[in-house]
Amino acid sequence: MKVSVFITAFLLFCSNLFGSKNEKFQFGSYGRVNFSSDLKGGRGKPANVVSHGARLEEGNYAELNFAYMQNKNSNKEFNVKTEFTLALFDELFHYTGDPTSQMAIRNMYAYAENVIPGVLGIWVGSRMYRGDDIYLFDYWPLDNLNTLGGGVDLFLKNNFYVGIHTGFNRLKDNYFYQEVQTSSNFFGPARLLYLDRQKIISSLKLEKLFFNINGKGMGMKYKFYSEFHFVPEGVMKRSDTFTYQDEKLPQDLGFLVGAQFGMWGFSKNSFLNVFIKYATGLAAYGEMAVPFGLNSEKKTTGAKEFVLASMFNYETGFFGLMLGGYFRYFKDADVNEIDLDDGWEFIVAARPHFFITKHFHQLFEVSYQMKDPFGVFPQDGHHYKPAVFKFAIMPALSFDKGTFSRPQLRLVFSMSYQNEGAKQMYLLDDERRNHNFEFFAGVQAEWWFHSAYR
Amino acid sequence: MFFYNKKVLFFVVMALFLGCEPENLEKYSQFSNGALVSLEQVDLEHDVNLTTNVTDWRNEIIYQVIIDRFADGDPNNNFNVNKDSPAQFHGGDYQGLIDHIWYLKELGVTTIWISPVVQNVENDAGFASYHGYWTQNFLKVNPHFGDLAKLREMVDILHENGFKVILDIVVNHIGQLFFYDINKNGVPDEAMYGCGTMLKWFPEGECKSGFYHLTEYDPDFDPDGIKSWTSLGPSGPAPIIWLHDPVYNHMPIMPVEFQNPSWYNRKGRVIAWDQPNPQCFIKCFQYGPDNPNYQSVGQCIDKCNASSFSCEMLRLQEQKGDFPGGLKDLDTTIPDVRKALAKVFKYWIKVGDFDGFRIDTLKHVEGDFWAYFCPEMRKYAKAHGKEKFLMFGEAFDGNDDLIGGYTKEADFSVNYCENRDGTYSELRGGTLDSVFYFTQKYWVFDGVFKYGAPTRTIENLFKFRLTDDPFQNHYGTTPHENGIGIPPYKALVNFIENHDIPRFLFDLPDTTAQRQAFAFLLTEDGIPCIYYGSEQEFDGGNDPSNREDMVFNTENPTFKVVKRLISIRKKYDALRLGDLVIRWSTEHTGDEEDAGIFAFERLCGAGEVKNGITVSQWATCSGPDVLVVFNVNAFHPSRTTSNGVLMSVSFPPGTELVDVWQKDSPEVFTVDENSKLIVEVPPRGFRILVPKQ
Repeated sequence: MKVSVFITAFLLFCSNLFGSKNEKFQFGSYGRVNFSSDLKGGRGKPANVVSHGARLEEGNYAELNFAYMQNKNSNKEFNVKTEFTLALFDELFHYTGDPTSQMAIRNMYAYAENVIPGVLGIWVGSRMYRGDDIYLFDYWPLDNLNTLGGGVDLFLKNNFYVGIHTGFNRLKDNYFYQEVQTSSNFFGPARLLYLDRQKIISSLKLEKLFFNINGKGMGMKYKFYSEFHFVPEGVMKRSDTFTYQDEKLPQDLGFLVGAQFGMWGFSKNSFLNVFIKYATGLAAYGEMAVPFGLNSEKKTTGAKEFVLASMFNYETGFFGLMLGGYFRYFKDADVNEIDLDDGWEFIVAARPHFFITKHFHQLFEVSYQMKDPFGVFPQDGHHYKPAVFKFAIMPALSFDKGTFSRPQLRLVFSMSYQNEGAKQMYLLDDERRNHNFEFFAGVQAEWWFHSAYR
Repeated sequence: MFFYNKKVLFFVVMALFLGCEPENLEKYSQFSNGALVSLEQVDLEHDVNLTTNVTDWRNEIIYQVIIDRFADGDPNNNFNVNKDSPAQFHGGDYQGLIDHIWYLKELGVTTIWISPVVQNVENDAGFASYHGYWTQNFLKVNPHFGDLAKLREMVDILHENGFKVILDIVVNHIGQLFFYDINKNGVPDEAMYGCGTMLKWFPEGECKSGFYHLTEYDPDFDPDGIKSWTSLGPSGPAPIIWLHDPVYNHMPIMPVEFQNPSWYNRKGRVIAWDQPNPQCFIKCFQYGPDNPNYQSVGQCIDKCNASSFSCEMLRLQEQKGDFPGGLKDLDTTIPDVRKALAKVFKYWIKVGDFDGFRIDTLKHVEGDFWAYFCPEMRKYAKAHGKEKFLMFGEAFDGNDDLIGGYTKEADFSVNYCENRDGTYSELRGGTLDSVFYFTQKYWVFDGVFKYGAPTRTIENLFKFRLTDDPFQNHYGTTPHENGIGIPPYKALVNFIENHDIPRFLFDLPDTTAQRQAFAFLLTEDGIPCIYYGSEQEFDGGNDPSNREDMVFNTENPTFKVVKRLISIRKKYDALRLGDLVIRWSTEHTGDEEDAGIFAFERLCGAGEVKNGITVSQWATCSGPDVLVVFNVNAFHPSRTTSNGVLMSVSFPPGTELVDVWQKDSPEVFTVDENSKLIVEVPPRGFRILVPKQ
C-alpha cells in the first residue's frame, strides 16, 4: 500500500512537472465523494433490489489516471501511450480512522498507436476495456471487460472500426485459483499452487459510425459485439472438509453476442444508446464473476443472460433530461426451475435537470426498479417480487450547464419506498426490513477530467 | 400488417427465448405473514393444497431414505461435503431423489420415508448433521438438500409417480444450541478434573482425585435440574445460554417462542438406558477398594444391583433428559410447548403435502403428549383434504408392551414398567397409528433369522399382537378417529434394519439369510419398511457406518430378490391385507424334522370361517389365501411335521398349492383329506404357496 501511495505521489509530481511543458504526461481522474445520513444516525445506504440500481447512493470512489505519450506532436505517427489508473475504494482515513485503504490497479497498459498509420493500434496490459454506459446506474450493459491481455484496433475506411481482444483473468476463488499448504522439500510447511486455471476471454467489436448525417452534426453508429469465454479443466481441494478431498472442475465455455445502436447530436449534448445482449454458459455470469448454479456436471451449460438497455440524454438551454433503463433476464445452469438465482429485473429512471443559472442546477431523480426471482424466499417460502420506488431532490453546483457537466457538488435527499419483497431481501437481523421507507441525505461531489475509462 | 406480424413474431420469440415464470412457482409460494421468525406468522389456513393419496396403508411398502446419502442431484448445495467420512455431509439432495425415481419404481416400493428436512446445527463435536435430527429452525428447510420449493417439487413428482411420502420429524429435542452455565462465568466450559488414574493401582499418597469430566454443553442427568456450582458451593439452578455461532449454525432456536428457557427440562443428558445402571458398575471397578462408600467391590456391585435406577428414574431420564449429543430436551408437558409443536408440524403438513410422519424418539416424550399431538395432526390434515394421514413412531426398545402402548388410546392404561416393589410407574398411551416393530427386529429378525433361535419365539411374540382382545394385545385394536382406518395391530411397521442399528449383513454376512429375512418382511402382515441399500447388500456396522452412499445396481442379486418379493406381495392381496394365522412354529433348532420351520397363512374374506378360524373384519381382500413356509435352519431341509403331527391349513382338502417363489418348474403341494399338509423347505429357504389356478 505504501508503495502505491509513493507511486501515486510520484506520478502526480511528474504530471505537474512535465505535463505543463510538453504535454507528454497527462493526469486525469474520475471521482465521487460524499457524506450522508440515513436519518437514523447512521450513514446513508443504498436501497436497490436490482443488480445495477440507481447510483445516487453509491459510496466513495476515485480513479487517478496517468498517461505518458511518447510522441504527442502528431496524430499519425507511431506513438506509444502508457496508461496507469489507480482506483481507491470507499475507506477514507478521515472517516474510519484506519490508515489502510483499498486500492486497485484498473489500467496498466501500453498502447501503440499508428502501427500502420491511421489504421492499426495494438495494446498490451491490464485494461478496462469498455463501451458506452448507462450513467444513471453506473452500468455498462454490453461491452465491459476487465482483463489482463492485449488487443488490436483496426480503423478501416468509412469509419468502420474493428476491435479484437484476448485477455485472461484468474480470480482469487477456488474455482480458478487455489494455494494449499504442503510439506516443503526440507522441513516445515510450504505453499503449493494447486489450482491454476485462467479464464480466457476474447472479444470482437465491429463498429460503424456515421457523422453529420443531417448536416447539423447528428451522428449515429451501429455496433456488433461478441465474446468468447473459456476456462480449462482443473482440480481443487475442498477446503471445507478436513481431508481436503480433490474435486474435479471441468472445462467450460460461453458465448456472448450483442449489438448497440447509438445516435447523437440531435440537440446539444444529446444522445441515445440502445443495447441488446445475449450471453450463454460461462459468459452469462460476466468476466469478473465466479459461476454459481452449475449443472450436474459442474458446468455452466444452460446458463443465459439477456439484456435490453437504453440511455438517453437531451438538453436545451435551461433543461436537461437523462433517461435510463434496462431489462435483464438471467437463468443459471442448475436443474432447479424454481430458483431464486433465476428471474428478470428491470429499472427505469429519469433525472431532469433545471439549469437555474450557469452554475446552479436543480436536479430531480425518479426511478422504479423491480425484480422477479423465480424462487421462494428461504425465510418464509413465499415468492416475492421486490421493488423500490425512489425519488430524489438534488440541488447542485456545476462547472457549467449540461447534464454531464462536472465537477458537480450537490445535495442529495432521496427517499426509497420498498415493498414487502424488497424488505425481505435484507438479512433477518437487519432492522431495515422493518421499514417501508429508507432515506438518504447527503452532500456529494463528483468529477471527471481526462478520464481514461475505455 | 406485415409490421404487426413482425412484432408478434418478435414477442413470441422473446417469450420462448426468455421463458416465463416457472409453472409451479405460485403453487409452491407459501402464503406469508412475513419471515417466519415467530409462530404468530405461521399461517395454516391460506393456500393449503393437500391430497389424499392412500387407500390402505397395508398396501404400501416403505423405503427409508437418508437424503444426504441417496443421490447428489445438485452440486450447488454441497457445502461442507466430505465423502471420505461417514460422519460428514455427502451431498445428497432432493434433486438426487427426483433423478432416481426410476430406481424406486424398478424396485417396486411405494412409499418414501425421507430424513428430516428442517435446518439443523451444521456440525457438532466434529460430526455433521447430514441425518437431519439436530433441529435449529423448526420452520426452515435445510439448505443442504434444496429449498422449500424443491422439497415440494420432489413430493409432487413422487405423488405423480404413485408414491407416498413420509416425513421424519423430531419433537423431543432440538440440536445442541445452548449450554448450562454451571459455574456462571458466561462461557461454555469443558473441563476435566483429576489425574485420571485408577486409584487401586497406586500406593498410598499418590493422586486420588480420580477422573471427572464435566462439560457445560452436555452434563449428566440430574433429576432436580442442572445446578450451578461456584468455588463456594451450590448456587441455584444453572442458567442456560444460547450459543451464537453462525458458521456452524449454533444459533438460538427458531422460531423465537422456542427460545424460552422454561420450555426445556434442563436436567442434563440421559446416562442410563437399562436396569441395572452400567455406570454404577463401572464406578465400582474404577474406585475399587478405595471407594469411600463401600467396603469392597462386591458390596458396591450389590448396591448397584439393589439401587440401580428405578423404573421411575429410567423413565424420568428418558422423558426429561437431554438426548446424547447434547440435544436439548423440550418440556413437552407444557401446554404452550405442545401447541407450538403442533403448529410447527401442521405447517409441514401444509407446505409439504406429506402423507405421514415418522416420529423420532417416541418414548422420550410423555405418552399424553402424543395423545394430544396425533389427533391434532389428523384433524388438521383431514380438514384440508388429506385423509389417512399416517403417524408411526420409533420407540427404540425391546419391551413389546411398552412400544405397543403408544398405539393405544390415551385413557387406555398400559402398565409397562413394573418396579421392584410391584408398583407401576406410569400410565401410557399415545394414539399413534403404528410404531416400528422393534421387538420383532430383536426377537425375530435378529434372534431367529440371524442367529437361529427357535421359531417358537416368533409365535411367542406375535401372540401379543394377533389377538383381538384389547387387554391381551400389546397394540391398539381399534382405529383412531380420523386416522388411517385400520387398527394399529394390523399396521405395525416391520423392518429388518434401519439407520440406528447395524445392517443385517454386518452381524451375519450371509445374503441367503438376509434374503430369507426379506421374504418374511414382505409376506407377513403389517407395513414393510426397507432401509435404503439393504437391497444392495450394504453391510455397514453401527452409526455412521450403516449410512453408506447409495448405489443403483439393478443387477444386484439381492435387488432382484427384493424386487420379485415385492411384485409377489403386490400380486396377492392376501399378503398385504389378509389375516396372519400361524400354522407352524417349533422349539427345534437341531437335527429334528421340523427344525427351523415357521409357517403362516394369510387369509382373505372378512367374516368367513376357515377351518375353524374366523377371518377378521380387517382382512378386506377377496383373493386367494396364501401359505408361507420358512426354514431358518441353515443345515438341512425341514418339514412341517414333527413326531407324526402334521401341519393344519385352512385350504380345503385336495387343494393344490403352487410355490410361486420358484420361477422354473414350481413345486406343487396337495392338501390331504384332513386339511393337513407337509411342506419341505430347503435350508434357509422359503415357499410362498398359493392355490393352483
